[in-house]
Amino acid sequence: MGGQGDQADEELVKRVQRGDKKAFDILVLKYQHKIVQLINRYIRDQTEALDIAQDTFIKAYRALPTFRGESAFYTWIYRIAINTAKNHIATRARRPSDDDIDIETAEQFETAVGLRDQETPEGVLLSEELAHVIQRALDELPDELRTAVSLRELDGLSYDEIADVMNCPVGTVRSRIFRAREAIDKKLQALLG
Amino acid sequence: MTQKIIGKIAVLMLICGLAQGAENPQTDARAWLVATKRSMSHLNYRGMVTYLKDNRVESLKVVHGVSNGVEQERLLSVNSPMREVIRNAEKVTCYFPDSRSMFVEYKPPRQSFLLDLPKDLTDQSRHYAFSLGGTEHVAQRPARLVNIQPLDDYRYGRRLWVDVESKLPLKFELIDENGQVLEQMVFNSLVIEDSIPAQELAASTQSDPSWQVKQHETLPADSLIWTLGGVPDGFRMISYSRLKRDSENRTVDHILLSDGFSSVSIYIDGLTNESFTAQPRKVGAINSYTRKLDQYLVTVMGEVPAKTVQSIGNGIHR
Amino acid sequence: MMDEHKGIRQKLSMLLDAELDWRDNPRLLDRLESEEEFRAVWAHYHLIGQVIRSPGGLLADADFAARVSAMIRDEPTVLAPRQESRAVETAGRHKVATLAMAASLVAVAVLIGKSLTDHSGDFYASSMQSQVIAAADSKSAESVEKMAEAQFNDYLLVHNESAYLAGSAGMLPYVRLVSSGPDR
Repeated sequence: MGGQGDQADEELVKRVQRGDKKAFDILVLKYQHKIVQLINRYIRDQTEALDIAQDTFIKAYRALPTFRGESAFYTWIYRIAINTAKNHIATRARRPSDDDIDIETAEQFETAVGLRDQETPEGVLLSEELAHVIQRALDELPDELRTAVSLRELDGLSYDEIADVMNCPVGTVRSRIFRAREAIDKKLQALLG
Repeated sequence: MTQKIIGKIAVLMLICGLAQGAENPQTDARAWLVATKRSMSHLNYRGMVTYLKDNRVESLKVVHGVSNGVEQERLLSVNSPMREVIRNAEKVTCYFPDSRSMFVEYKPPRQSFLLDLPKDLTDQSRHYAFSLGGTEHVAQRPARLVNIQPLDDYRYGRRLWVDVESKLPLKFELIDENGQVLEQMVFNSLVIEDSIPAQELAASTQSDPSWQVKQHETLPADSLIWTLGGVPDGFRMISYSRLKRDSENRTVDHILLSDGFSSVSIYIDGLTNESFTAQPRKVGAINSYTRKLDQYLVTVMGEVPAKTVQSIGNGIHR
Repeated sequence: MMDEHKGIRQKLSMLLDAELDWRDNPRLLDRLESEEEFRAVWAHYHLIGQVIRSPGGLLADADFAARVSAMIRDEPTVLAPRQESRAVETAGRHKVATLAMAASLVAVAVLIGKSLTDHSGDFYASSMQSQVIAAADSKSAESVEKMAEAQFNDYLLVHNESAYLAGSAGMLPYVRLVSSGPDR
């Protein structure tokens, strides 16, 4: 897994390096949630985590000319995210806060659940609502569609592997995953208007 | 000499949404430009064009024909020396009888050389404002003015007069930051036909095997060692070439940038000669700027204001 | 039209899963970049995946990508196209990239032959080599100026020849090339 995913990233990076800023937008849309969640492990305050995630992408854009493709793009930006988060914690070390957890502890968590003692920004509320819509829509999917998309997203199986597991042709896997996404997307669009 | 309104044009107008009551003026202007591009590649026509630059006037003959979906074009300078450009589908040949040479290039398909417009004007809307002006007569035909105004002072503006009936471009002006016309092209006469005979599209220049043929050869890409830091937003890299000069190891890197309307060339020359000065120059529509970079001589030139070539030139580093 | 868009959404679904080679679908990335509808689909599909993987985890807010995009627009464009010459082979194919306008890969072209400017002081003609060397040797002010002039005209010619690639949005972009007399 990842070979061709990397190739699309590679091409997008090249486009950015040639002056195509829209290609960077596509990369942001792809990795925004992963980066936000990653930073949330270190920075509990949601607003701050979002700010730092934003900084991460800007830093990545500025550093892109030096990116030579020795690693995958995501690996590279992952490191930038961690460094940015750590720097932020370090500069705040003089003003200790209850919110941030130390680095060692952070790295033990797979996912961090955001604390609610701060006021949740409006944009985040909408995202949470979208997440609920997605969860409900998932539950309402026919079994084979939900299974297919879960095996893909949760277990990271390839279409071939899913075809093995579900004992069906690859084309069916492709179709089920697509239909699952379409069905959920429809509900998202209904909410977003 | 027949002139016909082809049914296709009416369809084109509908497709491009030029029916009355279109809301957004910017969209209108863009719709005109899109329609223009379509007409140029679909119609058969011939005409005489006057080209004005630096107080010099030249006449050119233009012929365009489409048959079996294949586009052919011919541009002939009627002043001496009689240079000629022929396009047959993607192949472009430029004849230079004065130096007994020709230049052959392969152009991406479906691009007219009558008017080069970027594929999609969305990008360009960030840097240019498109608006419609009034209707004037050009070549005895009513033509609508389309303004292309730069939104920053890194670019030049353009004015295009589009034939109301056929949507062909009839007149073009390149405008600098002071509103001065740097270049002008205008049709003195234009005739639209049902078809154009093949011999009118064939080259009139007689070349022979002794002529030198200049051609681009594409090789596998190398890495570019330069970083360009002073490039205004919207400019992208179009091509990177390494020009061979002399028989020595001297190479000149040529980087071509474009924002869809203006093009800028960067030359990074390995020739060292301290006597070359770094004076900014202006040649017609083209501004140029030179500077030393380590042992290289960097020259930036293009149809853009002086500050643009300077910014780009100063922003180059390894 | 509807079927076409559905087809593209399906391809985006596969692209997301790394089950589609973008090189077989070169226009896909272009359309993804330029059409809002497809960007939204791309964003939603990734959101769905994230929620499946981490329900309850913090998500980027709805305007996050737009904010980043706006900030990137204000950043100076830095161009540094470094082409990696990896052998990219999938299932024995070797794709050769073609140069398309304003969108794609870098090609290295070699222009061989003398400059087509027709006046003396030609800097690059091999037949004029001796003249050049003589001029360089003499180091007189005018000969250096002549060289500089010839070099400039050479650059200008190459620039005008490349105009069609760049799209000068003028009428008749070849006119400068075809017009008589030196471009002075």
